[in-house]
Amino acid sequence: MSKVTRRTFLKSASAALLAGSMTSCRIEELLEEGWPEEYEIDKPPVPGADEWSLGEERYYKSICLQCPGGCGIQVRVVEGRAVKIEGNPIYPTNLGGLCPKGQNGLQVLYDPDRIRGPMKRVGERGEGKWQSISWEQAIKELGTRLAKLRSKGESHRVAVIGGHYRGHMGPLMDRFLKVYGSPNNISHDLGMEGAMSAHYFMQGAKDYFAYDWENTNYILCFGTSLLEAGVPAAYRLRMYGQMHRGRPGIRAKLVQIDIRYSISASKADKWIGVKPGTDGALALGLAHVIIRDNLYDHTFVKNYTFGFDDWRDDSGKEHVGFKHLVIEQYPPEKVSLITGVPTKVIERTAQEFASHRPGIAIYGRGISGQSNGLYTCMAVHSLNALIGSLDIPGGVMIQRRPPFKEWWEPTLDAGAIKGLKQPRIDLAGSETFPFASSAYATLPNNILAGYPYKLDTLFLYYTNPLFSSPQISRYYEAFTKIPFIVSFSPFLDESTHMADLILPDHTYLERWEDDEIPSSTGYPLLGIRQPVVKPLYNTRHTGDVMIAIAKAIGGTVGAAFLDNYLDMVRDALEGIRTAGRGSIQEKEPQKFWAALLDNGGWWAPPYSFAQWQEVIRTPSRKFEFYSLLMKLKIDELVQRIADREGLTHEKAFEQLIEKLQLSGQGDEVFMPHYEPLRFIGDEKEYPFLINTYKVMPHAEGRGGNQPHLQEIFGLQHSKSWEPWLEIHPEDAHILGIEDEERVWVESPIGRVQFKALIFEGAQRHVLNVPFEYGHSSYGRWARNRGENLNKIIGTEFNYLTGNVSWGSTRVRLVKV
Amino acid sequence: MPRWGMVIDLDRCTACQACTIACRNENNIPFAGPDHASKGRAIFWNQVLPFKEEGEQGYSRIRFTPLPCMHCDRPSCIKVCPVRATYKSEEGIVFQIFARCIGCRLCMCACPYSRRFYNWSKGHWPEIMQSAFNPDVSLRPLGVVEKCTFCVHRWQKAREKARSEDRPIREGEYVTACVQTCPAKARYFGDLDDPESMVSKLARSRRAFRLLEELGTHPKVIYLGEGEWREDI
Repeated sequence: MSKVTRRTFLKSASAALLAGSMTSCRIEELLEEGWPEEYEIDKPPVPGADEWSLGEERYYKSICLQCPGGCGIQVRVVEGRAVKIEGNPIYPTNLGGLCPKGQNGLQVLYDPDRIRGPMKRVGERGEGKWQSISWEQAIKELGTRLAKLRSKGESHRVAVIGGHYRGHMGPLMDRFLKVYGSPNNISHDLGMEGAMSAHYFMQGAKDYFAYDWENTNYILCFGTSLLEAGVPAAYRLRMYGQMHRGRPGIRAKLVQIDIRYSISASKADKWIGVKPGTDGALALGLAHVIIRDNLYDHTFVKNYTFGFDDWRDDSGKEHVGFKHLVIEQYPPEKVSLITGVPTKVIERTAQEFASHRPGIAIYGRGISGQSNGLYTCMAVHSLNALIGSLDIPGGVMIQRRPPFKEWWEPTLDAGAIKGLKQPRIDLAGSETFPFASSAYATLPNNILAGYPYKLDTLFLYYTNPLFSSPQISRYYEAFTKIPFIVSFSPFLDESTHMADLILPDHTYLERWEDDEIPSSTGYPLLGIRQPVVKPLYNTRHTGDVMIAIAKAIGGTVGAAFLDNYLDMVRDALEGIRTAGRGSIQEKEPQKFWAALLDNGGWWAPPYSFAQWQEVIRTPSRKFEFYSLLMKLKIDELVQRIADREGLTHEKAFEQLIEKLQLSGQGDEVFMPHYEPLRFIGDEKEYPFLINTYKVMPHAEGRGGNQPHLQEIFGLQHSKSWEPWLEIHPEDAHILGIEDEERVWVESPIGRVQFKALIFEGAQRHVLNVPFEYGHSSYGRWARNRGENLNKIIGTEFNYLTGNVSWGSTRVRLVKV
Repeated sequence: MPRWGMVIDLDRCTACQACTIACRNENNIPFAGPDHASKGRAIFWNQVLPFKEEGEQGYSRIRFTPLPCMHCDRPSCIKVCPVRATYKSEEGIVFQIFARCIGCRLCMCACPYSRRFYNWSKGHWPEIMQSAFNPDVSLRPLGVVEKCTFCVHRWQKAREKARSEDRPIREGEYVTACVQTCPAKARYFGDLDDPESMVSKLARSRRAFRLLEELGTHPKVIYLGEGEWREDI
C-alpha cells in the first residue's frame, strides 16, 4: 500500500479531481495492492487528529460487539488513535474484565481490508469489479428501485437477512419493512430457536434465560460450552470464578455434558460424554431417578406446575402426566443404552443435582440446533422445574427489559397492508415451520423454486450466508436468481463479494447505538455504544442509511422515521429517563444523556425473585410439563388442515405429525420426550457423525480477520491459523490414519479436506471440527485457511422451530 | 520498597486467554503469522499452556496454566547474559535492555519456564494497524530477546503520580494489563512485601505454590491450586 505523504496527497488529489471517480478494479488487487486512490486521500491518516493536542489522552466508554454479549468497555484514545480496549470497571456484567475477543477489537477497527466507501458492482457478479459511488447516488438509486417495486404492488419481494441486531436496530429494520410492506425480516439465527421455543412452550416467555450463577450450588450444562461459547463471555467467565471462589466454603459443582472433551469439560468438575443428539434421553433419565427416589420439590411441583400427574381435560379425556411418562419410559438402564452414559453415572448425577439445591440445568446451541432440539431443551428445562429452581436465588431467571418508550405507531398505506398480507418467503409460521419466527436455511430452495414468489431485492445485515449456512452451494445457486443484492458489511465477506451494491457500515467502535444486554443479570441493563474515534473511512451507519432510503421512497414510508438513527434511539430512551429509576435518576435530558455516556449505560438492580406473573405466562399460569400453549397452536393448525382437506381432527393431526417428521405420538407431542436424531446419509456408507464447535477466540464466526485471535485459536491442541479434525484414536487406528495426515471428509453433499488430529477426548464415530475457517474472502488473514465444514452439511430441520439440524449429516473418511 | 508479584488462582482461571491478548495489545507484540507460528516462533509474553495428565477414564485430563514471566528473585537468565542486557530492578522486576541484547539466546536456554522469546521477524504491521500501537511501549528491533515486563510503563506512570503527591504507590494503582482484563478475576497484582496486600494474603493460602520451586529461582508469580468439589457443602 502506498504511503500517503503530503506530496503524494496533493498530487493524487488533483489527479483524482481530473479523473473523477470512475476507477474500477478487481478484488484481488484491492486486497493485495490497496484500495483505489480516492479512498486513500480523502481522509488524513488519523481522522479528526487536529482536534487533539500533543500527547492528549482520553477514555471513552462504549459497548463491545465482538459477540452478542454486549460487555462494557472503555477505550484509551491518544491523539485520535484508539490504542487499547479495557473493560468498563462499573459495567455490571463484566466489572472491568474482558475476554480475548473484547480485548482484540482494535483489529476490527484497523483491519487493513475494510471496505472504504459505498461501491457498485460493474463486472459480472462475483468477478470482483467495483466502482465507487457516492452515498447520495447509491441511496437515490436504491430508493428508486424500491419505490418502483412498491408501486407495482410487489413490495413483498424485498427481504432482509440479518443478525447481530443491537438495541433498536432490530426494531428499526422491522419498522422499515412494515411501512414498506414486506413480511420478510429473516433472522440468521440457526441454532437457538429450539431453546427459546422450549422456554415459550413451558413458561410462556420467548427469550433466553438468565441464571443466578453466584448463588447456585450445582450446574448441569447440556451442549453448551460455558467457558468457550457463553454469552456474554466475560460475564460467564466471571461467574465461573464466583461459583468456585466467590463464597467462602462453598464451591459449586459444574457437570459438563458434551459430545467432546472441551476446555469447559476440562475446567468442569465432571465431564459426561454423551452420544450426539441423545441429551434429551439423558435429561429424562435424570428426571426418572429424581422422581423415582422422591427427590423432587413437592411444594413447587404441586403449586406451580401443570401436567406432572395424570390429568383430565374439560372434555373428560385422560392425559398422561410427566411423572407417568418418565417413570415408564426412561429408566436409567434404557437411557444408558441410548446415551452411552453408565447407569451409575446417571443415578449419581441425578441424586447429587436434586440434593444440592439450588441447582440449574442449562443448555445451548449444541442440543438446540438439532432435529430434536425443541424436545431436548424441554426435557432439560423440566429438570429445573423438578427441583423448584424457577425464579429463586441460585435458579433460573427471566431477563427484565429496560422501560423503553415505544416509537409512535406508523401509518400504513394500502401498499404496505397488501404487502404484509403475503406469506413469508421462508415459510416461517406456516404449516411447514409452524413455530418458527425465521427459517433461514430454507431460503435457497424457495428462491430457486420461486415459491411462494420470486425474490427481487435482498439486504444483508451482519450475516454471511455463503459462509455460515449449511450446504453453501445451494445458497450460491440461489444468489444467482436474486436480481439485486445489497450488503451493509464493513468487510468483504463471501456474501458481500457476491453483492451488487455495498453500503458499508461503521465498525462498532465508530458508531452510535444502544445495546440491550442479552439475558444475564436478570435486572434491566442497557449499554450505550458511542464512537471512540472518528469514522476512518467513508462509511455510514446502516440505521441512517435505512432512514435515508425510507425518506427517498417518501410518503408513509419516509414519515415513519425521525431524521437520523441517533434521534430514533434517543427517542426510545426517553422512557428510561422519565422512569427515573435505576443507576441514573437525572430528569434533565442533557444531564441524563451525559451521565449515560459517562457510565457507559443504565441499569436497575436488583432482580426481584418469585414474580410469578412475570416469569410464568402460560395459559395455566403455571410451569407446563404438558404445554397447553403448544396444544392450542397445534390444534389451530390441525383444524385448518381438517377444514381444508375434509379430514377428521385425529387424521389431520396424524398428517401434521407426519409432515413435521415427529416420532412422538399423542400427548407426547406436547411434552418433553426423546426424539431420535434424523440423519442425512446411510449409516453403513457414512459411519461417522460430525460436530462443529466454538472456541473462545471465535468471535461468532467473525474473528477470522483478526490475526491475534487466529494465533491463539487452538489452545487445546496448541494449534493456530488452520482448522483440524478431531478423531478418536481407535477410529484412526482402524482406518490407518496418522496424526496430521490429510483426509477427505465425504458426506452425501460433497467432500472437503482436513488435517486429522488424533484426540482421546473425541468419541468413537464422531468427528469434531472448530468453526471459523475456510473463508474464500474476508480479508488477507482469513482467506484460504483450511476448509469450511458447512459446505458438506446437509439441510435438515427441526420443522417445529425452523432450526437447522447441525448434527444430522453422516460422513465417511477417505485418505488423501 | 515494594516487591512486585502476581498471584494466579487456577480455580478461577477459565483458560480464556484474555491475558494473552491484553498483553499483546498493551505491549505492541506482533503476531507471527502462519509460517512463523508453525515453526513455534510466535511471541507470547503471557501464554496459557495445556498440560496433559494421564486419566483413569481412557482420556487424559487437560489442565491449563497461564504463564507470564515469573520475575524470579534469583533469576537464572541474568547470570548467563554475556552483555548484561538483562537485570533485576530494585523492586524485583526482571528487565531486558533491547539495545544491549546481542540475540545470543543464552537466557532463553537458562530460563526454566521458557518465558523469553526471540524476535525472529520485525512484525508485519500494515500501516493502518500501527494506529493501535501503545505509545508508552517501544517496538523491539529484529534479533533481540524480549519478555514480560510486568507492564513496567504502567509502573512508571503510577510512580510519577505517587511521587508528585509525595506518597507510596497505592494498592491497585499499578496493575498489569493481564490482571486488569482477567474476566474471571483470577489474577492479582501487588506488593508481596506488604503483609496487608491482597497478593501477600493470597500467597499465604494453603493452595499457594510456585512453579519449579526446587530449582531455587524464587519466582514472584504464585499459583493457587485448583479445588475439588466436596459433597458436604
